[in-house]
Parts: sequence; structure tokens; C-alpha cells
Amino acid sequence: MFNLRGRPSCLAAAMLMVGINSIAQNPAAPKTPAKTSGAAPGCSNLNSKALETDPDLVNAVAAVVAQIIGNYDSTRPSHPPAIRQFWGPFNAAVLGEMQPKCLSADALGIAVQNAVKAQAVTAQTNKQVTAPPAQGQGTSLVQKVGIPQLLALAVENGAITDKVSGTTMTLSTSPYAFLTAFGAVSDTQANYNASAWATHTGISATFNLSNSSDPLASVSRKQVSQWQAKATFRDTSIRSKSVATLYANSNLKKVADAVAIDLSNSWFVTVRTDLDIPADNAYQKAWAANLETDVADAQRTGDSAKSDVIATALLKILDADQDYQTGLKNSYAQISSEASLSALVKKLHSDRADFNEKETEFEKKIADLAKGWNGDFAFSEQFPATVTSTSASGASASTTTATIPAYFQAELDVTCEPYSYSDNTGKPCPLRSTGTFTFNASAMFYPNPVASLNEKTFRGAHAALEGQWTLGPGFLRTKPENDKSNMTLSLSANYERLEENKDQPKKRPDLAIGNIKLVIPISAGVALPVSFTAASAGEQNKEKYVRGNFGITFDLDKLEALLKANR
Amino acid sequence: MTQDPNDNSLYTVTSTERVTVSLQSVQCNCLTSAGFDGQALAKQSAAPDVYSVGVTGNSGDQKVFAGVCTFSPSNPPTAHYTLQVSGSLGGSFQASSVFKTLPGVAFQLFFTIA
Repeated sequence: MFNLRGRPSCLAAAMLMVGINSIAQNPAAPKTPAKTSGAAPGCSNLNSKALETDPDLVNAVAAVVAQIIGNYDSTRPSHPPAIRQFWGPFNAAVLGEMQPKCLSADALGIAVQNAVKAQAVTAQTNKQVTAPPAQGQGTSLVQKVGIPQLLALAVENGAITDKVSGTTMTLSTSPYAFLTAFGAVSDTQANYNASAWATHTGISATFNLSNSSDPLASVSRKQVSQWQAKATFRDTSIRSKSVATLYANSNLKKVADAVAIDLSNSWFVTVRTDLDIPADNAYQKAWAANLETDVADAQRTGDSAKSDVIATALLKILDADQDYQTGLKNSYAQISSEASLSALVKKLHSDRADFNEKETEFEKKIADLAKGWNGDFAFSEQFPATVTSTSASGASASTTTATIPAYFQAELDVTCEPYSYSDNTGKPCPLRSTGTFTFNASAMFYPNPVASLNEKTFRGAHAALEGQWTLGPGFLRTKPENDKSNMTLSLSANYERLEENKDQPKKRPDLAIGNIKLVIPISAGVALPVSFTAASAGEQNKEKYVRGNFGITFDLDKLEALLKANR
Repeated sequence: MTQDPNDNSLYTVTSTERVTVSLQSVQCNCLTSAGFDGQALAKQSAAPDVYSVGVTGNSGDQKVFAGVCTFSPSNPPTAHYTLQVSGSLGGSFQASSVFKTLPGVAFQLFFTIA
């Protein structure tokens, strides 16, 4: 009997909707041991263990709640959203358990969700933690007024993405993001597919932060360190057509087909009569009583706790509804007496579980789609840092500040990251299975060359090559759970030709730099980078140098993710 | 085809009428599967994913269309699929949208033969 009446401890299970849902989101997650409370008092006749090992039913409740919230129309608050088309899968999950149960579980799902997030964050090896230099530029008040507010609106609407890193903030957007965020175009897959130009291009601007507590307030011409327009060669997002092609030929599609076939069985006409309609009727009756406020709040705030409240309320409603309970009894009797129905619900149950497993496989294949060869062409304007030099002469010292003019840069970037799931041989890249290859080449131009500084329109050219290898977990014998930080080795070479240095005293036009860097994780979010750099000359002088650096880096994002995961 | 005014999952069709269900994804890729009366349905076209089937049977028979909409963990919470149901003899209706609950959300539509 699906009966929760008078059993508050059982109802606590419904508080886990979000958590269990996150299991479905991340089926690849490690099986963190559940902090089970065992069969709660009052649930002794029910099978709480069944649910803890199989989140199918709780997923189904979460799905119903998501549809209620998602379909809620705030302009017609007295009308509960029609969700009858979703009760069938829910009831199939109830019946698929083949035996009554008590909904008892714990926060396993949230733990798993955080674990997966931590693994993703700590596994990053390409995070840029240093900020580009910038130089003060003139601006007018007219440009500044209202910009932060407009930007805040654009950020809120999703038209612009802001990313704060250290002392800089980068605002980026694409034509497609702008078109869809402000409603000019609906963000359907059909429109996405038809807007390749708008999805392959983007612009960004990096600002030096003057006020870290209100990053958008730093947005002014004066604070810009660079702006950039970029076009990528290949769409590697989850919206790309290649993901749809991958899905069409995937095992996930086969299992989804199986679930659809199961759910289209004519027996569900009976289930609809016995369970779906009573469930929907009970839900609609309860709408005005208590659900409406929570649903409106959940949609408005996106507060997952409200989803839990709604899920709990739904289960209480179904528990108390006599028509639903009668239908449940009839359905169980049918399943017990008919072998074909018993087989159907078992198959459906199994197919849904299989779906979760195949979804994990599919996500890994999608991740591989983003790898391989890719590149982009970028055009940017750089505003280099002010260079300050101090010279001592006898008892006096003088400080001079040189302003390096802004210049344009046209850049070609090519990168290759080897597949990690579909192939472990390093394909299609040249640097073995764990090596990522990156190449940049650029040409720089002064828009207004200053002859007295020996500047010409063509400032110079630049080329860089880097190979980075993941060397495994490093020397740490014990790492925090979910910490996927790896030791990395990178070799890079950089050549720059600066025309303005030609024939200048104490300067060289050709600058070559080689670097080797080893990053060793030493604790949660903490790493020890060691690097050696050799250069043929500096940009401002012609002296060769060899430099060794080491230090300790703290990655607060990784640390936060791990703390949450292992809490 | 007509849609029940109180239940947008219930439709009445004429025998042999061809039913078309169109699934358009919003803020997510269009990854769907569908079945009708215990059989898999092949997509007629993609993005939007269109499924079409002829409803045959006796008057009063009910047939079930089931769909599965797949989402990715990285889709935003507001990602959803819109459902458009139309009949070859006329009538085009909107059913409830399918919102993200990972990894997949199933739904059913019921067709009663007049």
C-alpha cells in the first residue's frame, strides 16, 4: 500500500526529491554510501530499502514536480497546470516496484551531486589564474553612466556571461546569446541549427577590477585590458548537431526507445483510468488549498527546497485520496494476476534503470566530441600595462613610466585534446594519450604608429607552441575523496618579432622564450608549480636570462567544491 | 482531431486519421524517442522532432503515444520541450511542455477513436 498517512518520518523521504534527481543527472557519480536511517518507526510494514537502492520512484515524483513548476502560468494563478500526461510514467514507477514501500531515504543525492561537481572542477588543468595586464585609458562620463545597470540586465537575461578571475572580469557574449536573451529569437534547437554564424562567433572584453565587491561597476573604457572578437571553427557545445547525430546512434537512444515502447503499451489506458485520473483530480483539488503558493514560489525563485515541499505535499495528497488508493490496489491486483503485466512493469523498471546507465556513457561520449582538433580566429585590441622603470644615478634615483600604446592583434589558435572515452590511444592528437597540443600564431598592428618610438603599422608577429601532459595523481598517497587533481607537465616555446626593437640600442627584435612547468598537487585545492624559463632577451632589454620559479597556488574554486562534496 | 478541454493529454480522432506529434526543444538539444501502441516510432524530421502515425481501430478504442525527452546535466533548469499535436483531418493543439528532470522525462498522450 502506498500509504504515508500519519508517518512523518516516512514523508521525510520526499524531501529528497532534488537529491535523488541529482543521481539521475549524474549517473556516473560514485556510489557514496547512503546515510540511511533504516526503516523509520511506523514504516515497519513497508519496504524502505527498495527505494534507497532504486531511485526510480523518487525520480518519477521529481519529474511530476518539475512539470508542475515548469508549466505553471503565473498569469493564470488560479489554474493548476495540466500535467496529466506525466502521471502515467509516475504511476508506472510506483507499480514497477511491485510492492508497497515507505519513501525513506537521505541526502545521498546532494552528496553525489557535489561529488561530481568537485571531480569536474578539480580535474581542470587549463584554468587560467593570472590576469592580463592593462593600461589606463581615457574615457568620458557619458559612456559610463548606466552601463553597469544595462550590463546587469544583460547578465541577468543570459545575454552576457561574466567571469571574475582574480583582479579581472571578462564579459563575453555571442550574437545568438543576445538574440535569444532578449526574445528576438526563441532559443529552440531549430533556430540554433539555423544560426551557425551566430553561435560560432563571440565577443569578450576583459576589465581590471577596481571594486571586487561590485565587479560590474568596474566596466568602463578606462578599465579595459583587452577586447576580442572570435570565430571558432567547430561547435563543441552540447547544442551542436553532432550531439544529435551521436544520440541517434547511441545506446541511450535504444533504451529511450524501449522506455517509450513500454509506456505506449495499451495497458496504460487502464492505468490512466485507475491511477492517472485520480492522481490528477486529487492534485487539482489540493491546488487552491496549499500547492499554489509553493509552486509559484518555486517557479519564481528556482528554490529547490520548494520542490521538496511540493513533492511532500503531492505524496500526502495521494496518500489521503481514496480513489487513488483504490486504483492502486486494483492495479497491484492486476499485475499480480497477469504474467504479461508483471513482465511489462519489470521490463519498464529495468529499462529506466538502464537509461540512467546509458546516459552516463552518452555524456562521456559528448565530452569526447568537444575534444579532438579545433581552432579559432580572433581579432583583439590589447591595452598593455604601463611599464615603470627606476634608474639610479649617483645619489638620486629617477622613475620613468612608459606607456605602451594599444595595438590590434589577429590571432590563429589551434588545439588538440585527445579523446579520453571513445579512444585511449591519443587520437587524433600528436602527443600521446594524455597530451594536449596548442598552437598560437598572431600578427600585431599599431593603429596609430608613433615614428619617434620607431613604431610602424606592423608591430610584429608572435608564435607559441605548447604541449601539456597529465601525469596522474602525483606524489600524494592519500587525497581527499572526489579530488581528481592531477600532476601536469607542460613544455612551451614562444617566439616574438618586434619590429620597433630593430636597430634600437639595448633591444632585440627577436625574442624567444622556452618554458618547462610542472604542477604538483599537494593538498585539496593547493598545488606546487615549478617552472624554468629561458629567454633570448626581454621585451624592454636585450639581456638573456634563465629563471626558475616555484610557489604555491590556492584554487578556492576547487577547495570549495571539495569541501561541499566531502561535507 | 479534438483535444479534451480539461485534459490536454486526451484527444479524440477519427479512425485512420494520421496524428503528428512535434517536439521542439528550447535551451537544449532535441533528443527524443517515441512509441505508439507498443511499437517504436521513427522520426519524420529532426529539430523539431516530428513523429507521425496513423491511428486505426474500432470506435471507442484508446491508443497510447509515449515520448521520452532527454536532457543533459549542463542544460539550464529552464530547458524544456514544447509539444504540438495535430491531426491530418484538422486540429492542432499544444500539450503541456516537458521540463528538465534528468536524465529523461517520459510523457503519454491518449488518443480515443471516435
